[in-house]
Amino acid sequence: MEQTRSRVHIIEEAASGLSRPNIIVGVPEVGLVGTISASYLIQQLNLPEIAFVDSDLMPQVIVVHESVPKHPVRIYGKGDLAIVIAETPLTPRLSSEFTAELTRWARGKEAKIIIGVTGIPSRKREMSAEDKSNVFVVTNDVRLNERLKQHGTRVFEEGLMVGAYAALLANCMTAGVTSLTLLAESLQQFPDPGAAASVIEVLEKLLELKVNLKPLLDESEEIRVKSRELMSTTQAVQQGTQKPAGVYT
Amino acid sequence: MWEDESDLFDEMERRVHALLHQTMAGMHDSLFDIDSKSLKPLYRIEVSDEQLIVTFDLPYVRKEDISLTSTEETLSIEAKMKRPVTMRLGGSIQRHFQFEKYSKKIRLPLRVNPDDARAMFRNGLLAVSYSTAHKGNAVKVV
Repeated sequence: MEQTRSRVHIIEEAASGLSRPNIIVGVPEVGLVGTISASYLIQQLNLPEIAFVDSDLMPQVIVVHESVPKHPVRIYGKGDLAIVIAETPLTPRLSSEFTAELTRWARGKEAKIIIGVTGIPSRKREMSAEDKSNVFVVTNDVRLNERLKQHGTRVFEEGLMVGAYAALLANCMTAGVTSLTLLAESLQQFPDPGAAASVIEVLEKLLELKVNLKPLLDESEEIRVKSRELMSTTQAVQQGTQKPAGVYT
Repeated sequence: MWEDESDLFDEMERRVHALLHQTMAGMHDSLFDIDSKSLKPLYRIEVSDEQLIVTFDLPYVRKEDISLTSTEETLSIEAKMKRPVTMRLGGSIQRHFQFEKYSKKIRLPLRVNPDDARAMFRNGLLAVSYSTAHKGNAVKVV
């Protein structure tokens, strides 16, 4: 029996009825790509909240949405899809314990795959007039690379990954869970809804989801204005603890 | 031994959280100015051997509505938004406010020549750059 002394717990609020789910994970890092895409998918696919994450390592933060208090890290889902969203930046210790617990939870659910969605800082993104950006892929299942290339992604061939998504991939590699990280070229210190749209496009094809991206692109200015506070906190935590991945192309 | 190390990590973690909460507590000061109905934009300062670049994130802004003023030590921006943005502020405020523009004065990390500033606006991002390369005199090695 595996002995764990996890300080992070995933508390299910109701029988989720998940069956061999694909799990998408969005936490705030580069350009808030993870949180923006997770939040948009939850809303578009109308997924119910099924669990929250409890930990004494968590900042003592409660997010209040329309007068309802919520834990800042939550899981939504039904059927074969679960989406994990964090609305607070994760410090390194929390990232490491949280991703370990999430990987255990995923194994318990016999998850097919865990997909981290995030951004990779790109200078040329700042001067590009495109809404959409290139998406790079890192996976511990090489067969997926070929399939994903057909969906217009590029393989991340050389470089470092750091932070919560690196911890997630590391845990999945250790536990033998199939994992994939989608990294959209993104603004680094400013929220980037266009980059979020680019990863969602890949997810749509890979998981056969039906998502209308038009509102995300039409309302990108509003999202940029409304996510300034989270971007600012995320930036403060990241500067204090780590440097993000670099593009090597 | 394990316990001690664990305490040390906990202490580091607590410090990061303390920083996080200080940042959040100061957020209203750093991102909003209710009295002047203005948002303080997110910005970034980069310094290299050749350039000092200040980049502002300005969603809802049109190029013609940006006004920049620079001295040798400061850069000020004022930019009207094409439509006002209503936001509910938290904390002890808990009210909706309308913001009509961005406004910010930045103290630059080094002295610049304001006459040689250049600004470029793309996709709601404004980059203001100054040259930091000064022509020097040759130094003779003896």
